[in-house]
Amino acid sequence: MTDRARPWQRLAGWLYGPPRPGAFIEAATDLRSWLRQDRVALLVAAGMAVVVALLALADVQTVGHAAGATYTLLALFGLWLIVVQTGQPALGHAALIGIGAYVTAFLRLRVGFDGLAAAVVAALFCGATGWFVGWGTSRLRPAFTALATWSFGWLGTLAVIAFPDLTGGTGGIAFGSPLEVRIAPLGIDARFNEAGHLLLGALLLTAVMVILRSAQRSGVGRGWAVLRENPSLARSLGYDVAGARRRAFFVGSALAGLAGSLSAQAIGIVDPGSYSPVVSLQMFAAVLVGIPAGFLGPVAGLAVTGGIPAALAPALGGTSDDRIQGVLVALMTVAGLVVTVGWPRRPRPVAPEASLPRAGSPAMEGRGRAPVPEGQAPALEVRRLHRAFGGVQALSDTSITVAQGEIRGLIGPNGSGKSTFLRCVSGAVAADSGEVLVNGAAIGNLGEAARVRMGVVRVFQRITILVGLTAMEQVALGSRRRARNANWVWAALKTPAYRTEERARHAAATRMMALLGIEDAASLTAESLPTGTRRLLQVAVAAATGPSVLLLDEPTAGMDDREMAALASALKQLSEAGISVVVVEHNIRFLAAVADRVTVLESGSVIAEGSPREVAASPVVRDAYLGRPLGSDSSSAHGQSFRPRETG
Amino acid sequence: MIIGFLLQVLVAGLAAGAVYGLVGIGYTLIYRMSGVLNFAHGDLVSVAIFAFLLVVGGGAQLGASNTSAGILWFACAVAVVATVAVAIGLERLAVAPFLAPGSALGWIGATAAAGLLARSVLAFGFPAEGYTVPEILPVRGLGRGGVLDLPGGGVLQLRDLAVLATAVLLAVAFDRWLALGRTGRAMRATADSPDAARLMGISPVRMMLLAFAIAGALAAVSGLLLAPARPVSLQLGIIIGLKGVAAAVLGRLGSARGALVAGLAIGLGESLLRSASIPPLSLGAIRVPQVGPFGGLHDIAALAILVLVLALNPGRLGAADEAVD
Repeated sequence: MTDRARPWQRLAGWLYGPPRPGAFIEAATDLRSWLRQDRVALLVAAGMAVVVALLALADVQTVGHAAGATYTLLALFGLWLIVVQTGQPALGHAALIGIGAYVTAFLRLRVGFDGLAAAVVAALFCGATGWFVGWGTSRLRPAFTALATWSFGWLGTLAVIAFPDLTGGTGGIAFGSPLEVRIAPLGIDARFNEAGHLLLGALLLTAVMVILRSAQRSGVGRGWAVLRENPSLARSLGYDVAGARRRAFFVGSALAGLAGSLSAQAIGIVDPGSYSPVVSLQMFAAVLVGIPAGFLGPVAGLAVTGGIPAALAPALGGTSDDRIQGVLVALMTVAGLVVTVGWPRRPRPVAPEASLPRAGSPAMEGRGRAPVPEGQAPALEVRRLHRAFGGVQALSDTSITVAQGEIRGLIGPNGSGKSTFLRCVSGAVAADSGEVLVNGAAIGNLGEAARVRMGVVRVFQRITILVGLTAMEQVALGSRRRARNANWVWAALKTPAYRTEERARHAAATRMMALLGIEDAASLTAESLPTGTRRLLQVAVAAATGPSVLLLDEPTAGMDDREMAALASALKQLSEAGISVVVVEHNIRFLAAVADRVTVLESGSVIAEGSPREVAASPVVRDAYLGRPLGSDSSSAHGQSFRPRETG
Repeated sequence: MIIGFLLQVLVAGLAAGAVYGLVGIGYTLIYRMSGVLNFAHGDLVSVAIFAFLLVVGGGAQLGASNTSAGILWFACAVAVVATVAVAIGLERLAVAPFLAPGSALGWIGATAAAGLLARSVLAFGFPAEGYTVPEILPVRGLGRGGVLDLPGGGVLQLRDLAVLATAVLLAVAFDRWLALGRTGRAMRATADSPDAARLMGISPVRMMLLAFAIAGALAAVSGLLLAPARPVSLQLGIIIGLKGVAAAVLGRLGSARGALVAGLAIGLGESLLRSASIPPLSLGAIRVPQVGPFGGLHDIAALAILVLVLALNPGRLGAADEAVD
């Protein structure tokens, strides 16, 4: 593309990259296969058909109800994004709908905006409000996120009562005129009746569903899964968990504000009763109850917790009495939750044995070389790290330097500070003092996710896998952070640049799994894999982030010999590719096979460092593990050879 | 002159605050035992109030009643028993089944929905906006119809003093029982580690039920103490519950004492907001108009502080999803 490209060409280039032969055919195929594979597309089309039928056949009142339902669904999909996709219990969604309605009333009646402009501004205002709510709650545990949003909802209701001059009190605010669209240059001057609102609502809902669906099925959606199921893992892979939560709150709240603005204009009144915490609770329950229905959860949830009671109440003799409906709503909500949480899960198939190298293969023989390149900054340099927990000095003055491509073993008795060391280096725990340098750059003040971007990645001691995702998908999660085009918009538009990256990501994931010998498990869900394979998978996910320093915490626990050999061979290949590895391990045989050097910690201090053989022979180390015999100095033998605890 | 007025504001605030503290102790106890914030706790307060009304007046609108003391005390007992029963049912149906799968969404939704169910059932018997609850405490015979005139124009509601004394006494008794009693120690052990407690022969299930029963009883007493002083609607329980949870969170969700102190502070702050004002000033050319009293804001203040505390100070409340490895 030349500099003299026209603006639209520049825009297209920005969106879709330089023109490539076959790109359009590819995009068309993609769209067709999506339409064919995804029943959601079919159902959306069916929904639109219902809308058309309603417009043609139904009376005005029914059309009005249908329009209200589409707006409710719009807000529910926003809540679904916050609650079901990113796992944040938001109990104040109706308050955001209300804010949208009140802002609209203010803009239309006091400022003189027209209806659609007011709706857009109200949506953005609610999005910003939601962003702040997300900012406040993104660091909280789910229970407190729920409490904060629940309080936020009540605050809104009480504020309506406390400031009647501004809000019209419990009576609400009436709009004098219906929603109007006036675009003078084009001669458009339209007033929305019920049918207009139904069409507008249906179009908006369809657009929102297509975008959310597209995002959910892309790498963005897999990112939601990891931050919902396991925020720690997400952080250790370099995801900005708090940021993603805020973004979800922004989008979800903007949808609520849009729905609130349009529905208030549809019925002509801002009715505070529709924005009460009870409504928030019903919406929350609706998206939870809909979880088994997957993407169509909001629709199913609304039908169960709202539609069934509305249909049953007249039959039970409560046409004019909404108390019966209230009880039915509550009953359906409770019943729905019990069914949802007790929803039977299909048992997963157990993986066949993956083809792993045998024990006694070259992988388990010692390293012949000592790869310490001269004249380069060390991959990891830790200077004088201190960390105390209460009165316990977990790390005191710990300094370790790891060369590029070096595999460094870290051993020591239980409680000697090995795991704390890894946590401090990876940023999960803040050090009291000391410096951490990666490839010569100081990273001591960065957060966990930022350190992953600098190339420091940790693998947890505990097995952390995500239920329901295949091994391949999980490894692809690891490689996402290097993606430049993996944002919402790109994923939703499925730009060629995005697709190319997605393909590259899968190729990289496949290579990484082959490296660790678990490619046979690629299409199996992680929970069906045996323990050792899960650990290998964890290493593959971390290695897929493209680290320069990989921190492993007891990776061989629960591994059999073949899995250990596979891990050993993989670590050697990673090291040959220039990646440094720090591995905390109790299994000396494994370390002897893979480590270039071994560092021994005791009570948070380095007491020995050297080749595995030197360290194993060191009397200091032996004393650290076995204790000093009474009345003897540390150099005297006590008739026992060095015998570390063998695990796994 | 102002002393009498100050005393009036002080006692009224502390009385309400001590009751918020009792509700907060219930939240704290349940949270410490199970990690659950009971979103139906405020509705337990409502259950107690309306169970009491059901026995005393059969649901009819009550004026200043002359119901005999015997019936009043019987109704109190029924209210407490009913609330404890509902609390235990809540634990069995809305909390216990949702704890095992590990996701908080389940119990958050279930407790909140259970509260909604309780409220919608109560709405059948009590559809109106305001009910009057007859006085339970025997203060009418004292002073001038239960009111003591203070020098300087203030009046001291004797019922406030009685409420304050009852609530503080209950809170201190519970705190001491938890610290020293055999069952109290078992309960603390269960809160620390259910598995270790089980090895000591303590049944964590029974301890959970007991915790919900105690929290329910405290909520019931709170409702019965506060209700006679004001018109009562189905929302009152939730409002009291929100102030209780504010007290619990401000009290760091760690101890009965923390909740009580925070509750007293909230009550006092509300009372000041409701009645205190800064008189207009004129400093030469500058005229400062009168500030307060903020009668309409007293319900909002505690909530706003709660939201701010949650947003700005997550130290002990958040950061738990880090603790995976």
